[in-house]
Amino acid sequence: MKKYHLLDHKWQKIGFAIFVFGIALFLIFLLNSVFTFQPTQIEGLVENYKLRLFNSMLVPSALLSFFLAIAFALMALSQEKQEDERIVETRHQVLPRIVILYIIVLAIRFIALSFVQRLAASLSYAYVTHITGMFTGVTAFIGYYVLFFKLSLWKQNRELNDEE
Amino acid sequence: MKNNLRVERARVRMTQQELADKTADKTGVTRQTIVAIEQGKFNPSTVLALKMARVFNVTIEALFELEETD
Repeated sequence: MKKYHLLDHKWQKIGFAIFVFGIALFLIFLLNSVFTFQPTQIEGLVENYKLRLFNSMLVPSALLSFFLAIAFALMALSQEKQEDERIVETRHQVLPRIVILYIIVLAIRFIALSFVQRLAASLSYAYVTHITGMFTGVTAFIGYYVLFFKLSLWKQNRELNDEE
Repeated sequence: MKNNLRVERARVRMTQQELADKTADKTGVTRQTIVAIEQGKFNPSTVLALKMARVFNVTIEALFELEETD
């Protein structure tokens, strides 16, 4: 019996459930502005709205990152329903692609944040330096891996639906 | 790498799913993997190739052969 050194498939289901829960929680927080801080130093309707929107994102996005980190880790480290050597090879093929994708995303994010910070600085945006992405570091990397692996497997399986 | 998997399967009138079930032990091999091997999109490990040869009761050379480009 071949061992794949991965968690049982049921953990993938648990990971997916946590992922759905995290997204649902994030949407609830976002829609209810649970963690909105009231601005005091900026006046004006437009600035007020921007600041509220920005601050309301901070804590929910941190919580979302926490749930996503656990969910993605479980999904990445658990076996498919019927793991075999073709699927293991697909895992190996996906990894270098994710490294390249991740570098590209980091570059784009850097350029985008530079632009946003520059724009916000010109508007005297007080909390601009606290901007954090919804997905950060390792969580994003594992997330991309899960996404790419699943897509690759789905594409492969679609192509391999030959006749009996 | 060329293979005669489809021919051998036809000879014994076996479906891809049946071959997957017979080749695999508890860990399993998917039907899609059998298709991928037949289509030359995936080269099986030595263990899997030997197991398939055993299912058809032929030598591994009768099932798989190298091409010029390999």
